[in-house]
Amino acid sequence: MSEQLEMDELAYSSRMVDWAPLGKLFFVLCLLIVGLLTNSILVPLITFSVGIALMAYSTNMRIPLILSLAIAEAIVIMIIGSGMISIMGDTDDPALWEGQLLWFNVHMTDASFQKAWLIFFRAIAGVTLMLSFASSTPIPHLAHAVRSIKCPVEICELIVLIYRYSFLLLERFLIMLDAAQCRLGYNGAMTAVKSYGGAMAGTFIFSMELAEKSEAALACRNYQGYFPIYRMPSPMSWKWIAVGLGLSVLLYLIGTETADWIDMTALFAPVLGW
Amino acid sequence: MSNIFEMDNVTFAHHPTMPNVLDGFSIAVEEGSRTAILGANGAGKTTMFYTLAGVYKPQSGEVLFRGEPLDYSRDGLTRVRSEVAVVLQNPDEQMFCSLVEEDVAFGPLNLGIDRDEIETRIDKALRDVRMTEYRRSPLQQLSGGQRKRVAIAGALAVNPSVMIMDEPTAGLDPQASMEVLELAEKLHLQGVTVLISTHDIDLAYTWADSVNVLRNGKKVFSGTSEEFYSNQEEVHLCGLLSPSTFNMNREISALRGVPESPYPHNVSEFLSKFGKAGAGRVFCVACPEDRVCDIYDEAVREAGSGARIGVYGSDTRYGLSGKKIDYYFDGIDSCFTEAVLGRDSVLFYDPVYDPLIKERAGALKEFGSDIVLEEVR
Amino acid sequence: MTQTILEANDVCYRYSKKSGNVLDHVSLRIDKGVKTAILGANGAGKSTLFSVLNALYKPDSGEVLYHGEPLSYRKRNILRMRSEVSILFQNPNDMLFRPNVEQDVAYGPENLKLPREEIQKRVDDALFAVGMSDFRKSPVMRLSYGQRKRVTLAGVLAMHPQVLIMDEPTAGLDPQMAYEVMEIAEQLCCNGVTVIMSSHDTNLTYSWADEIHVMQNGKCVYSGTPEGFYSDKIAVYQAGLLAPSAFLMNEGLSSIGVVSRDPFPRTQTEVSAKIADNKGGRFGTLHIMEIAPDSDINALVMDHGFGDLSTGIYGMSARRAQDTSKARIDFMYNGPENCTMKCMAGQDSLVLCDPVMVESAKKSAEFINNGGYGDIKVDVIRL
Repeated sequence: MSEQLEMDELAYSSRMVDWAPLGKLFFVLCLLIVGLLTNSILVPLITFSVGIALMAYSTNMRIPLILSLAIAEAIVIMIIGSGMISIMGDTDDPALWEGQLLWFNVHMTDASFQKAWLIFFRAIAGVTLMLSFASSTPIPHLAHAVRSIKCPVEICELIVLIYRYSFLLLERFLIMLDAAQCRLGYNGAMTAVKSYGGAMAGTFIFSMELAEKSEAALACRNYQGYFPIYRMPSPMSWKWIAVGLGLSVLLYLIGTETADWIDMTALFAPVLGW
Repeated sequence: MSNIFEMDNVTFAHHPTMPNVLDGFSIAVEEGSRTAILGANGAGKTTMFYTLAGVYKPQSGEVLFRGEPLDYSRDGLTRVRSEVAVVLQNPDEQMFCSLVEEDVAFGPLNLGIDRDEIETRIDKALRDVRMTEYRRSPLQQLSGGQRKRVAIAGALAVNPSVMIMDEPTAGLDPQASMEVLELAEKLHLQGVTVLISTHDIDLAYTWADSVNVLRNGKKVFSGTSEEFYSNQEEVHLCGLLSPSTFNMNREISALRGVPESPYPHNVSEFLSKFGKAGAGRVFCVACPEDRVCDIYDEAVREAGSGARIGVYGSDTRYGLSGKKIDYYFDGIDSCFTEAVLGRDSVLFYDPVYDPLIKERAGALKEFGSDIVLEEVR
Repeated sequence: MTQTILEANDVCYRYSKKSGNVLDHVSLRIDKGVKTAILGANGAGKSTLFSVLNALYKPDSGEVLYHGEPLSYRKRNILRMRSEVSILFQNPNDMLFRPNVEQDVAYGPENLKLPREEIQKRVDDALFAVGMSDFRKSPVMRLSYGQRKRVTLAGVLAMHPQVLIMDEPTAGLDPQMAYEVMEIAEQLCCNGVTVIMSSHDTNLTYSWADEIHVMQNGKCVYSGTPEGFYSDKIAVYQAGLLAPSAFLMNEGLSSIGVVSRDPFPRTQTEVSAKIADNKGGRFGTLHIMEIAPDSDINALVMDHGFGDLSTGIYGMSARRAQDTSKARIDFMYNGPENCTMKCMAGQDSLVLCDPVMVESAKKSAEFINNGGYGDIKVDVIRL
């Protein structure tokens, strides 16, 4: 509940909230794709910095705890993930490290070690970029953007409504859990399971009733089939495409030029004694 | 006055297999009136409102708006809804945007009004409900009472000529309810027809010109409050109780052997009927928005020390915050009560309420009280 | 000797580190059997206070005492406490866990691990108390808002709490149902349950509560008698409330010497009696007849020759008996008040009353007699 709310609050207070949502999306996607196209570790490092810089600008140099936590969480997950990749190298290649770790057969090769680092940096860069986008674009803006690229109206409106009501439903669900406590709803494991079930069913019924009532309420406000936005973000412009593509080409060139510049194995060799 | 709305023998059910929610329902709402809709839970009040606004199309019978049958085409409905605004009981059900200003703009945008005009309407509507400083706040951060105000602002932004409010004071604290009531009075003075459904019988009794009572999907009464409450049996069948002011008037009149009529509707009228009617002065000060504070000192000096000070209207109340005030809410009734008890008082109010004060003073005369209104310029 | 049942001692609570205190050094004591109202504007912290008193939230500082013992927040102790302290939430939709009425009311008692017959009996009684006996098999989804509110009230009644906390119990209810809820609250008090009610309806709570606690911006700014608070106009304004009209009328009239300020009339009947000042008149007798759930009302009324008196009804067992005998009743609502008023007008009247509620039924008549506004003979006919 609170996390969802905080992201929403963040998006609306962002300094980039009036930027074209499609432009932002295009820009972020360009950087993500180019990061996947090249094999240089330098490129994800650059896109990661771009992401952090955007985030810093968006939040007025005060990156809130929730974003830092999200990135930290991604780093932890990716350390585990790329750790797994690095120890499962091709058994035909010479091993840097071979042995038994818990119940894994470790066979770390030069290639797997390099690959793990690359994937690690790509993932972190991707998460950071996406977060910088998400933390500066309220969902209604996104829906509007998606609509403007001829996505079916029904889907866009669904996004907005689900987004709006997810707050209400969550609120309701949490209150119901409290109410269950007051009626001793966690007095034993079976009872607790039943209480959760009851709360879910209650929330479900509530959502159906809400939908029914909302339909009438929408009509009262002369709803015409789409959700208008009062304070429009700037429209998508050629500038965004130019910047996005230009930066991609540049990064691609940098990437191909620097593919072998950074050798992670060599860097770690003295430390790990390879 | 002509009827702005009429419903003639309307029958409505949500589904053919379900029971009728409105069943041979007829009603007429006079243009510019203050109408209260009363009835127990489930009597059909909300459904009636939706039918008036053209949301529900009745299975049989006719709904007339300004004498014309409702046109259920898209254009026809847009025409009706540009004049009729509905505020629902639960604000969450009618909010579809995440920012306050976006939500207030939702109705006008749907009506295709141009953006500059909407800008001024948002400003005005938010000021009327005292939510200006929350203009760019996300809705989910607001409390229930604040969401209710935003919902009302959303309806005001349509500039309606009919304002329908379903339980506008439910869940609001007494002061917020008073503000809603002041707003309803203001709309009434601006010529808007105001329909309010409520369970608060005391509130309906002090506010409404006429009441319409619903029971099981039928309108069973239409007329003045007194007529309705005099028939105790009917009141009970409708799931209602009579308002305490009405009961006390009846009881005391019987004990004292005086006629029940005229019926007092508020404290000042009640006291002038049963207390010793004095003749205090009420210094009436219509406050222009920008110079409230300058006028305050002058008027208080003129009234002399010991005069109680009352306020009516949100602009004046806001302008005078920090000054010494005795009656922040319900200033008209409170100051009139002072006068009835023979004491002087000063009443500061938004200029728009001038006719209301005259009207209340006129009503008070019927109770044998000769209070003096002195206008301070 | 009063005994404190629930106590908050310098309690602070906030929802997150960033937000301010929702409860800000709140201290208050709720005595056993005292009808307590918690008043305050929207957002003053009433509901949060209830959640803290019920151990749903643990205070950031300060402590909550139940029967003089600080809450330990250990699971077993909390369960025991919650089996004695129940909350009725404001919105009934928050409390409905089961698909049909009967099952939902049984939810609390089942969690108490009671024997089956006991659960059955409690569900029966609770559903009758709220007038929903005919709906016991209905799906909850089909019920209206008011009916759902009744079901949730039945749900907490069936837990037989010692302390019942009601959050805005009459909000959104039509007047008759609101009255019924208040009568149930009165009945619970007479049965020894401590009832705590939050509300911003000052008129309603004024006629009911013995003691009020006023919340304002998370602080408890007043504890004591209602009159003590309403006499301070500025405090009332700052708390976002309005003084009840009965109080205002009494203040107005006493300020010009028409009536004395004391005693304060709290109900409509008391105001009427005080203002009407019917000193020389004739007064009727208020017959209060105790009724057990299985009494035959028609026979009792005939035996005493009360057949043509105005009759009011008050309390659960009387309503049960009326439900089976279908006796004629003039005042289904506000029975004692209306009957007392009849006596003021010189007619005898009869209140069919639950034995535990006799004292409560006498209240208005006693106010009138003690204040010298009349001389109503009260005749209690025991079972």
